[in-house]
Amino acid sequence: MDLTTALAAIYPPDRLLTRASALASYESDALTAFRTRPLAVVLAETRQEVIDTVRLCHAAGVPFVARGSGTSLSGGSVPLDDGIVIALNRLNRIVRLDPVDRIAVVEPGVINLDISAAAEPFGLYYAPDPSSQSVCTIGGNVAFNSGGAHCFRHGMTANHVLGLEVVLPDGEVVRLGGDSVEDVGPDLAGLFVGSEGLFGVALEVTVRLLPRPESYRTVLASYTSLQAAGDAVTRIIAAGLLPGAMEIMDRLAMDAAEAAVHAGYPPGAAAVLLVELEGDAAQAEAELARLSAVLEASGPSHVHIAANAEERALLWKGRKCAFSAVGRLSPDFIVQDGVVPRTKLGDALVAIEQLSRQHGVRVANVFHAGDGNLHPLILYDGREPGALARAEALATDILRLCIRLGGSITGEHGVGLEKRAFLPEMYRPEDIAFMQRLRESVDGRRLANRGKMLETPA
Amino acid sequence: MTVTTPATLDALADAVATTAPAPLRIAGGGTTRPWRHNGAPPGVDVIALGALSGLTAYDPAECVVTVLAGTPVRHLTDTLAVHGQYLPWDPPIAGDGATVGGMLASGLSGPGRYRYGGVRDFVIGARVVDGRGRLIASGGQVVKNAAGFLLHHALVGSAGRLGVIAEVSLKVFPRAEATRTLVARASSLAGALAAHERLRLANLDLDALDLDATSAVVSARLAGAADALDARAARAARALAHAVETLTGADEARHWQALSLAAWPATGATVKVPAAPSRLTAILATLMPLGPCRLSAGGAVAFLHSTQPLDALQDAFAAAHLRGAVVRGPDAGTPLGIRHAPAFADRVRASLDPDGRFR
Amino acid sequence: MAAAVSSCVHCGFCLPACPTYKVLGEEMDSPRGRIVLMKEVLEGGLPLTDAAQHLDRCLGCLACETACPSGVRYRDLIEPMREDLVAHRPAAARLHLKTLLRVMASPALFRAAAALGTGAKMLAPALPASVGAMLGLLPPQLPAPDVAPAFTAARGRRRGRVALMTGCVQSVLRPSVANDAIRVLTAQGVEVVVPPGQGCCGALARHAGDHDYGTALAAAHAASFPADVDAVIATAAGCGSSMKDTHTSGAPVLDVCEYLDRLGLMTPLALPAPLRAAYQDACHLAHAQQITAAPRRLLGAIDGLTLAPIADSGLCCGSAGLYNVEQPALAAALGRRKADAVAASGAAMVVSANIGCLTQLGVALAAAGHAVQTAHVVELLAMALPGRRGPQ
Repeated sequence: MDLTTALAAIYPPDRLLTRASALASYESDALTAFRTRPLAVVLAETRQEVIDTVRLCHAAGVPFVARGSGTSLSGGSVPLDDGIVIALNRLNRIVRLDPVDRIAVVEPGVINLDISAAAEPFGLYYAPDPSSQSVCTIGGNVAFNSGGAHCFRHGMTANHVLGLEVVLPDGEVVRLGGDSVEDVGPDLAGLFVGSEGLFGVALEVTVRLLPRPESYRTVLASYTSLQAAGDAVTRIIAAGLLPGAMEIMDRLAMDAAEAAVHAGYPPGAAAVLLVELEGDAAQAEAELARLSAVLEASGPSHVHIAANAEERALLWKGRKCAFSAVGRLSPDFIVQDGVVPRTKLGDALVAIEQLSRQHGVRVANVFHAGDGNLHPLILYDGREPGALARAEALATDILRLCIRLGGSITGEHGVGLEKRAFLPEMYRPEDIAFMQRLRESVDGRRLANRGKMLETPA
Repeated sequence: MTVTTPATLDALADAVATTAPAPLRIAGGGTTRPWRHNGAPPGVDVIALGALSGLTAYDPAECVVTVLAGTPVRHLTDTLAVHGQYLPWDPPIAGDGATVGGMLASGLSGPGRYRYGGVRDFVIGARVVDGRGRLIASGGQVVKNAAGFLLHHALVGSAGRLGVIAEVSLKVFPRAEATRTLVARASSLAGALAAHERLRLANLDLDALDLDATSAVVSARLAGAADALDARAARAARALAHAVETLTGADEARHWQALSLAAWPATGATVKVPAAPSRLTAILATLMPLGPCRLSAGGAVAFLHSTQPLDALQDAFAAAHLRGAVVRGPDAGTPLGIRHAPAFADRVRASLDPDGRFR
Repeated sequence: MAAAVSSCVHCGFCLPACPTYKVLGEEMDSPRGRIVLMKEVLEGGLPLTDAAQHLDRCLGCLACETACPSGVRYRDLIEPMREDLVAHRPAAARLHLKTLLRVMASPALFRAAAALGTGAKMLAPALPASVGAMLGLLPPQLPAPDVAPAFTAARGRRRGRVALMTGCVQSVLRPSVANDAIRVLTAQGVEVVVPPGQGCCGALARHAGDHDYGTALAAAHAASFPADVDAVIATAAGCGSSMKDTHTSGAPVLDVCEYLDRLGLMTPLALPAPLRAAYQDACHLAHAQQITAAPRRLLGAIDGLTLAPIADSGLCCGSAGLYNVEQPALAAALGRRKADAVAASGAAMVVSANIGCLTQLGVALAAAGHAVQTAHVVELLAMALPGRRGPQ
C-alpha cells in the first residue's frame, strides 16, 4: 500500500494535502534559506491521528517532521526529503487550566501567548516568552527549549514543562514527568525538551503557570557605546540584583524597531539597555532604588523609568518586533543566535564589529544581555552578487567566535538545519557519538525529523 | 569487590572501563544511600568519588560554577558564600560529606526551591561517564544553551543509574541581602493547611513555604532587601491571619535545619511524593499513618519518613494511586506506587549503560 | 509586486491576524502562504488556476499588513493578482461579476434589483449559493428613498466646508447614514455639499478585480466633486480607503470619523438612556487606513454610552467587499464568530463605520439569534445630538 493511500485511511481529503499549491506553502519555515517539498502534509486534529501517523511512518520507513506555526529560525520544521509534515496547528485546545494548582495541560498546537491569555483572569501567566510568542506553538517551544527575554531569572521552556505525553518514533506512547515541579526519578521530561523532534512528537504538554508579579519596574538606559551597556549588566549582577529581564539593542536595531512601532527609543544613543525588575511592591521598589544607583554609576546618557503599564508595553513592543522589523532596513537578513559568557559580552561585541567591517556586511545587534544570548542580525541584499556568501561567511565567523569565547552556537533557536555543521565544532567527537547513540536507541530508523541537529550517518 | 578512588576525570573513565562488565556502585558521601555501612554486595565494584573534588571553574560575575562530582556540597556553598552567592534550592543534605554528584543524582531540593526553582532548573551542563567508560559532555558553561540533547537534565534524579556523574556546571544566584521567617503554629492540620493556602495565594514572593504536617506548623521565609522586609513581613502576617513568631539570624537557621530532610535519620526510608495544592489533604491522609511528613515548596512536594517495611509502603501507595520514590535510606532509588511505562527511560538507559552495570 | 514578495521574511506574525487562517487552519490560506503561492505563480512554478482557490479566499482585509513587522505591502500583491484571477475565470463567472458590479454601482439599478430581491428572499434556498447569499443580505424591506440634499448650511458659526460621498449601495440600503452625517457635520458648524449624480467611487470594482471599470468609475466620481471644499468626506470605510488612492478633485479625502475627530466636536452629545455598545473596526478603516482611535474618541464623547470591547476586534466580520457574496460559507463562519463576540461583550448595539460591515453584522446577529441593533457611527452621533430623541 502506498503512503498516500495509507494516510487516506486516517485523514479525510481536505486534511491530507498532496496538491502542489498546498505543498509549496509548507516548504519552508522562518529560515527561508532552506526549502524542501514534502511528500504530503497532514493536518492532525486529534492525538490519535498523530499516533497513527507516526506508526504508519514507522512501518513504511518514511521520515516525518511535526510543524506548529512554522516559525523556527533554525529550519526545525522544514520538511524532510521524501518525508511528510504532520501539522499540529489544529491540535490547539487547552485541555485543562487549573488556577489552584497553577498548571495548564495543553495540546502542542496551542500558541504560547494564548496560554497566558487564558491564565490572565486568574492572575497567572506562562513565563517563557520568545519574541514570536503571538505565533509560535508550545510543541515548537518544547522541541527547541525556547527561551525569551526572562531566562536568566526564570529559565527556559524546560524549567516550565512539568510533564509530557509523547509518541516515540516507533509509535509507542509514554508519559514523562507529571504535574508537579518536583517529580521523582530522572528528569526525562527535561531531556525530551530541546530534542528538536528527534525523540518523537509531544501529544500533550503540562506546563506550570506563575503568578503575575504584583509590580514591574522597567527602566531604559541609553549609552554612547555597546560596551558601556554590556558593562552595566555586569555591574547589575555584581550588585546582587536579579532582574526579570535585561535586553540590549544597538543603533541599527533601534532604528528598525522605531520604524515599526515608534517605541520612543532615544535617537542619539549607540545602545539601549532595557532592565525589568519584578516582584512584590515593596521589594521591587527597594530594588529599583538599588538599580537606579547602579545605572547612574554606569555612565548612561539617559535613564527613563516607565511610569505605567502602557509605557512598559511600548518599550517591550519595540524589542519584541526588532528581528522582523529589521526587514525594513534591508531586503534580506540572517538571524544569528549565539551565546557567550555574559562577562565576555563586551569582547564579543567588539569582535563582531570588527568582523562586520572585515566582511563588509552590516550587523544589527539585539540580545538577551542577562544570559549572554546574542542575536546578531546580518543584513544583506540577495540581489547583489556574492552578498549572501559574504553574509554567511560572517555568520560562520560569529558562531566560531561564540565557541571560542566558551559559549554556545545556539541559545534558543536550536541547531535544526542551520547549525548542524557546527555542532561538532562545539562538542568533541565522543559527545556527538553519544548523541547519535542516544538518538538511535530512541529512533533506530532515524525517521523523526531526520537530518536535523545531527548529520545522518551513512 | 574492588574500590577505586580516581582523582581525575580520566582516571574515573579508566576505572569504569577497566572494571567492565562488572556491576558498579558509585560512592559519594553515602548520605543518600548509606549502603557502605552494609558494604556492597559481592561481585559489585565500587567507584568512590571522594578524591574527584574541587572547583574546575567559578566566575562569580558569570554566576556559573563548574565543580567535580566528588566535591562536598558544603565546600561548594562555602566558596559561593564568600562571593555573596548561593545555591537557591537549599540542597537539603549538605552535611556529612554529601557530594555535588549525589545532590544531582538524588534530585533533592530544599525549601528554597519555592522561589526560583529546584536543582533541575539550575544544572546547565554536566560530564558523565557511561557504562563503557566513555566521558560524555552535555550542555555547557553558559546559562542559556540549546545545542544538542539536554542529557544533564536526565541526570537529575537518576540515582546513579545513568552513568557516573563526573562534573557539574551550575547556574548560581546572588544571595539575598536579608531573610526573615514567619512561623505559625496551628492547632490542627486543617488549620495549618488553610493558613498555608492563604499565604500561597497572597502573591508575596516568598522564598520558602513549608508545612510540617505532624506538628501543624507553617513556616514561611521572605528574602530580599533589608529595608523592605518589615513591610513584607507585616503583609505576610496579615495574609496568614494567624499568630506568628518571627525568626531571624541563628534562630532562623536552626528552625530550617530542623525542618530539613537531613534532620530525619538516614535509617528507615525518606520518601518523596510529587504533590499539588488541590491534593494535599488526600495525600497527607495516605502518608501520615506511615510516619512523620512535611510539605515543601508551597505544597508541590510531600516528604515522609517511615520505618515501615518497603512492602507496606508499596501497598499504601498503590492503594492510593500515588506516585513517589524512596530518596534516602537503604532502599534509596526505589520507585513507589504508580509508574510510567518505561519505554523512553529504557532507551535512554540503554544508550548510557548498555551492559546494565549501574543498578 | 516583486518588492512585496521579497520583503516577506516568512516570520509568520501574520498568521494569528488572518481570518481565513483562523477558520481554515492551513498554511495556504494564510498571508504568508499566499505570498508563497503568488511568488510561485509569478515565477512560473505554479499555474494560477492551482493557486486560485486560496487566493480567492483572501478577504483583502489587510489585517496582515497591520501585524507585519517587516512592512510588507500585501495589498500591492493581492490587488494585481485579483485582476489576473478574474481574467482567468470562465466566461459565465466573469459575466456574473461584471453584471453584479454594474448593478451595484448604479443606485437606480440596485434599488430595482434589491426591490425584486427582497420579494424573492424565500426563493433563496432554491437558487445558486451566491445568489442566495445576496438575497440573504437584503433586508426584509428596503428603506424608503431619502435623497440627501445638495446643500445644507452650517448651524451657527461656519468652521468648515465639505463635500459628502453618499455611496452607491449605501444610499439604497441605508440612506440614513448620509443624512445623519449631514446632521452631525452641520451641528459642528460645517456646511455640507452633496454632489448630485456622483455615482460610485469604484472601490468595489477595484477590490474585486475589475480595475479598469473601477478606475473609470473613480474618475467620473471625482469629477463630480467640487474643488473648493476643505475635504471630501467618506462614510464607508471601503470607499474612503479606495478614494484616498483615486480621488483627483484636489481636495483631501477623509473618513467622517477622521474629519470629525480632527475638527473637534462643538456640541455636547448625550443619549436619553444609558446604552452599552460595541465598536466594530471595519478592516478598511483599521488596517487599510490605520484609523482606530478616532471613532472610539468620538463615541467616547457621548454621555450615557458605555463602549464594550469585542474580543479579536481586528478580525474581519466577513463582509470585505463582495466576499459575503463570493465566499458565502467562509463569510458566514466569520460573521458568526463576530456576532458571538459582539453578543459576548454584552452590547445592545454594535457600531461600525462601513455599510458592508453593518449589513453583514445585521444578518449574522439575526442568524445567531442575538438581539443586537446595528448603527453607523454617524447614526449614533446623530441620535445623541441636542434635540434628538436617542435610539428608537
